[in-house]
Amino acid sequence: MTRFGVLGGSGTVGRVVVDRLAGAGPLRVGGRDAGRAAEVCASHPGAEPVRADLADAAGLAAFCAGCDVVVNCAGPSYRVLDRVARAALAAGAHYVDAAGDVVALDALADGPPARLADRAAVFSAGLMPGLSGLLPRVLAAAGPLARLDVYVGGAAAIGPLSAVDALLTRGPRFGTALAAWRGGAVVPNALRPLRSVALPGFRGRVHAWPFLSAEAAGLAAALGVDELRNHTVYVTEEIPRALAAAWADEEGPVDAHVPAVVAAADADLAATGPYYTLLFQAVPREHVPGRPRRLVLRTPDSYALSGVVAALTARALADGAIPPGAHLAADVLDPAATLAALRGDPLVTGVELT
Amino acid sequence: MTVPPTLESDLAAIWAELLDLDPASIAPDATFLRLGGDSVLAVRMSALVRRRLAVELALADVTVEISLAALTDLVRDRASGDGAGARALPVEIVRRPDPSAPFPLMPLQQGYFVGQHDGWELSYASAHFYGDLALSRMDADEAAETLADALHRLALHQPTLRARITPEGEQYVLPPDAPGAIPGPRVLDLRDAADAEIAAALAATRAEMSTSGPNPLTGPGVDVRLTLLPGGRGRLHTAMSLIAMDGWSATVLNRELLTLATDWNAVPAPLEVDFGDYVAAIERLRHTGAWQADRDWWHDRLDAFPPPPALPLLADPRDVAPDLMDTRDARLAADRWTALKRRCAEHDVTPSAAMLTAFAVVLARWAGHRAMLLNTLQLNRLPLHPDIHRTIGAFAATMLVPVDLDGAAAFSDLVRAQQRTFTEHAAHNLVTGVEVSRELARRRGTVRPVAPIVFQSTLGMDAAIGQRQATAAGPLGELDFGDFYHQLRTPQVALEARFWEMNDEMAVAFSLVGELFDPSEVDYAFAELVELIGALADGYGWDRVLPLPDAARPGPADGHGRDRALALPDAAYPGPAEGLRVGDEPRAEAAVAPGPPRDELEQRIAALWEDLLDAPVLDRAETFFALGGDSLLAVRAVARLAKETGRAVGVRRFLDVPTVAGLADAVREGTA
Amino acid sequence: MTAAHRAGLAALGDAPLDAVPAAVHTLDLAVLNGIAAHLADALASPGTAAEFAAELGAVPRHRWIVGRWLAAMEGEGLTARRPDGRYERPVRRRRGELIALRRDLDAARARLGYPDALTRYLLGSLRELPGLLTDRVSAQALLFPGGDFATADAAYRDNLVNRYLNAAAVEVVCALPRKRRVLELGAGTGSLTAALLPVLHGHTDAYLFTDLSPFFLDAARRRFTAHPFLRTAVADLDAPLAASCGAEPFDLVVAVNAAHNARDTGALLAGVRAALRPGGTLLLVETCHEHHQSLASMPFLLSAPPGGQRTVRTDVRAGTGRTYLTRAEWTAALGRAGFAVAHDLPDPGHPLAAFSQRLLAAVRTT
Repeated sequence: MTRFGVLGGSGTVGRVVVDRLAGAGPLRVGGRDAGRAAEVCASHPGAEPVRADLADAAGLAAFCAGCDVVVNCAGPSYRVLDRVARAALAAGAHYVDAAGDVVALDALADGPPARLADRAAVFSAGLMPGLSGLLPRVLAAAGPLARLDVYVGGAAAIGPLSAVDALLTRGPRFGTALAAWRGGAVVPNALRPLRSVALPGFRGRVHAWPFLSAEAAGLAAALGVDELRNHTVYVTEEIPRALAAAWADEEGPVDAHVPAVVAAADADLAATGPYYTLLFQAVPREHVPGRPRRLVLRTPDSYALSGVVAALTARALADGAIPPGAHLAADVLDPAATLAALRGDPLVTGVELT
Repeated sequence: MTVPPTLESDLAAIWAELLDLDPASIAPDATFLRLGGDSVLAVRMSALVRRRLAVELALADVTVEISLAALTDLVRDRASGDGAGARALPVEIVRRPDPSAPFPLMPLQQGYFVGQHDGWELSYASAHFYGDLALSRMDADEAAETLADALHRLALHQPTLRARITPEGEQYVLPPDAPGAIPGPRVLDLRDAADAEIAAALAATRAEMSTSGPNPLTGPGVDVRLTLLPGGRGRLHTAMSLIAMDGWSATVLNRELLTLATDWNAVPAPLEVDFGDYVAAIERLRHTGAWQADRDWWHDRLDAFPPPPALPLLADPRDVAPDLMDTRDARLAADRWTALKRRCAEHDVTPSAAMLTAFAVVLARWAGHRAMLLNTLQLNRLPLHPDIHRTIGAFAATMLVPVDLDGAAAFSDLVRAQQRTFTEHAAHNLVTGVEVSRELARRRGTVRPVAPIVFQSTLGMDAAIGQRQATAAGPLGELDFGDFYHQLRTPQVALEARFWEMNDEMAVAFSLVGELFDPSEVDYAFAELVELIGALADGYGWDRVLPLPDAARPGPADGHGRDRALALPDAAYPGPAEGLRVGDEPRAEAAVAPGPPRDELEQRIAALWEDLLDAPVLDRAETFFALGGDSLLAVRAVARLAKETGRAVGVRRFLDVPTVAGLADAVREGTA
Repeated sequence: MTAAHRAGLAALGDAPLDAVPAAVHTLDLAVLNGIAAHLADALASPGTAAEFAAELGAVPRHRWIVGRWLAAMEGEGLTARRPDGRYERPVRRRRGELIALRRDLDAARARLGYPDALTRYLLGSLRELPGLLTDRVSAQALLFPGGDFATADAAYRDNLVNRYLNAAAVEVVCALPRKRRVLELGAGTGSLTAALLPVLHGHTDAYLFTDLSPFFLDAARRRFTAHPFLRTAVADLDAPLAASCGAEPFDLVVAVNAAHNARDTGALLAGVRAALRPGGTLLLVETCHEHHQSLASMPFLLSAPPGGQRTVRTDVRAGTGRTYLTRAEWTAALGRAGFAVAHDLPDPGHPLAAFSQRLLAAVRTT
């Protein structure tokens, strides 16, 4: 039986992971607050609460010891980086991170642990990055694509730590605003923001800001599409404005802008209530009647859905479906199987493949 | 009218500069001559007033005997009365290097252009204005040659008279020596005809020129004809294409044409800029922060705008193919018009604001609700150069005005409130109502005109230009403005109220698509309006609290919103409470199943739209306009589609089903 | 053929000159007919000049102009004197004739090298005759519309004869051995000044640009900043020159269409001689005949100022009401005043002579 260890198990993402993994094997739930960890375990008989602080190397090692798969839901990723991954691998466990990204991968690659020879570490096993890079591949299954449009977003609360994360995700490692993928390369200033547009799967009118993330560029290269347009979708222009203001302020500390970003997200939530949609639309190189070109997936809670993805990844690892080494989830999960699993998940309120 | 409070000090500064004096030493009653000025310096003074204050002084105004106080009054009178004045604009107008080069259409021109392609409901084969006027004591032998000569000189002086429109929707000016560039008048000599023949011929001319106007796609934008009648009488007929020339241009054209006819030696001062230069400057304006700020200002308010007045209709506008608009006319005699102007001044409002409010009151009672969206036609000539006011061109634009009448307020308060609203909206006139209407339509998901009830007023413009309308024109004899017939065909208008001045009187008219309305209701509404205007002129209308419907907005179609229990005499608007009304959405078309484009044709159409609209087209059920398309782009889309698929789809057909799926069906049907 | 004449012709390129006399005549007749047309419309019956002036509503200071017109019209057969001394009303013209007149005027204008601003000016003056006569419109406002010089330049600079004369004048001045101090009288719009200043550069310490109106001095200061030796001063032709121009002798005195404004040309020439060093040069550009084409505009500029008196001439023009001296009169006056005429252009037989604008350069004899 596979023993799963979930770090940050009492958080928004972690709770869902715990819930989705319960019954799949012995479960160890770790958190800085032992009480809350215990509270989470109360709903899942056999789940073992453990006090674990990422800052405490010994405690971390103790937590990982005996686990087959360690799932990290604790952030923020810019502080966690590869620390937990290394601890897990050292303990001989596979590793799943609901967040993390190329920066964490790079950190891990800088003196890679030897256990990567027979164990896997999977990062970005969340909604975005993660699902946003995985699901479009469903549309590419029947043949190559000329063009792929991606619209991901909605209204969700942003906590202070997530706000910092958002503020830090700039620069060529993360992506380029207003850029598109064309003819095999990143083309800057190719697109303009779409204000007050109606998009399939989104409520009313929304604002779509082109942002060619590193994930999207990687996806475009992997699929060999002629053109890829990636957008983050907002309910109002508050968040883009707050981010733009923060990014324009190059001297100041990032923290100073956190309240504005948090308030902006709250304003969006107040406008529509929480919802999140992933919309992918493709133009195939060859038209085949009946071939699906659009995939829409809806959820009321983007954080929770990240937990679902992390749990699915953990199960895939337990099933041996993922080869050893360090990966991004979008590159190693099975698109069709993941979609099928998500269809049945209560946190997914709609899937349309047309 | 916005005039800086320091007008007198601005003028004193100019005098001080010219006369090398301390401005403070210039007493208001001192004449220019006494202060040391001479005739030549007086000319320079006029030039500086023009350049610095954008106010044109007439030749006769520039005398050395004028005092500073008198000059201040004069400049104040001459300052533009349309509220577009005192803004510093972030662009400058420059002469284009090639005056014959094509340039884009302005937004309202685009609307008319598409209307001529039968693109819209309530559109006509030509959007134009027609008028004819009685002449008496003509020198019939000289009249034709005089008119031809005057029109020739006018066409040399005003490039727009030589303008053409290309099929792709651009405009250009023919050089004077190009064939067909100079329009010539047509003369019908009925001096020896019998009465019956005369009546028939006049009716035929009127009918022809009313329904089929000059078309700048194929010839000149102006059509001038002269009918010679026995006994030194005659009629002067003028038709002007609204695509090429706006309402104010008609005034300029008539003035200048008559001036040139009166005096063989009249030479209008050359225009330093032309309409093409203006359009180029406006294009540059679109890229400025000021323009974007105005656009954002309108966009922030759009969602709160009320619907147009829900007037009851006899027919659905989509099913109506009007030929001519119906009219109702009235005049306010000179003394009462003077009285009305005085009353307006006493109440601190402009005559235009008072008329707009009066029209709104009548509409409110007719429609059954107090808050409504009106369209107004604005002169809209941004003061980029002092010559703009006397340039013929298509400058006009629409402006949406939301009206909200307080049911408990006296009329004078209603007007003041309306004037404030109007001024506030007019202050953001860098973006035209055409563009705002497109966005509103897009948000509401409709292809119908969002504001088909229109208000237009040029009251006060004459004073701003500072010229009296001529009543005699040399061999053309005397002009009788009391005997004046006019016709207006503007697309996308169900009902328009127009106010203008003629010969010291005030004229008011309704132009409407007769097929849409119950004529007795129209009669009643017009009579109400005339009565209200009379009450305002006579003074007692201002303090009245006029009975208005309770409802602010139109109610649901079962009629609850229409308050019949007003103190209105004998069922003024007896039409049914249910039934069609202005602002209703059309009956639902067969629903188009949403989804990604289903086949190659749909994908091709989506790609073509993306190219034209510079926006993603993801769904086969999304409408062209919701995606940001406009009427001109619709015409281009149809043209390109025809080129690419070899199948022509009419503009109207496209606009009936403006979705990717609908258009693909239309192409497959091979519908022309 | 002198160098100056050659230089003048060179400035004209290959513009056809044979048509000039006929075109000048056409322009003269067109304007005179235009004036006659106004009289035909405005007058009810035959009358004397005074009666016509009154019927036209002419203000006192402009009444003399009507007499001038009638004399010119009589000369061209547009009116006739009756046995009782009254003039006939001119014949009323049909609109078609007036349109043809206008086209003739414009065509002649073009052939003479004038820009179209001149057509506007001449037609504008004709149209405003009622206002000019009654002082509701100022002639200065027509000549300087908007306060700029485009119209004045069209009339006095940008045409065949003025280009010729300016080029010839430049040649004459270039050939002068000394030109350290220069005085220009009645300089106005500076049409010749602009051509002279570049060739004087390096040879001249002081160019005194004078006029009666500060308006022109101001414009000159702003325009000729490239020539720091230019200075301006107000100077009245009828007052002693030393008061406004200083006592130091000049090498060259220039007067372009200004000298005839003096009350007494003899006195003016004497004063100029005194202001010149021995061997110094007087350069005159003068109109030697009053052409009909100027009758709708020029006379109004020459009337007495409002509230003032019309200049009473005390020289050879005394008692005639004439404005201009003829070529012969100038030559004689120059001789009497102690000048020797060195240049007298164009040759009276040359087509350009039809303009009646002459260049006279005369040297102060010892």
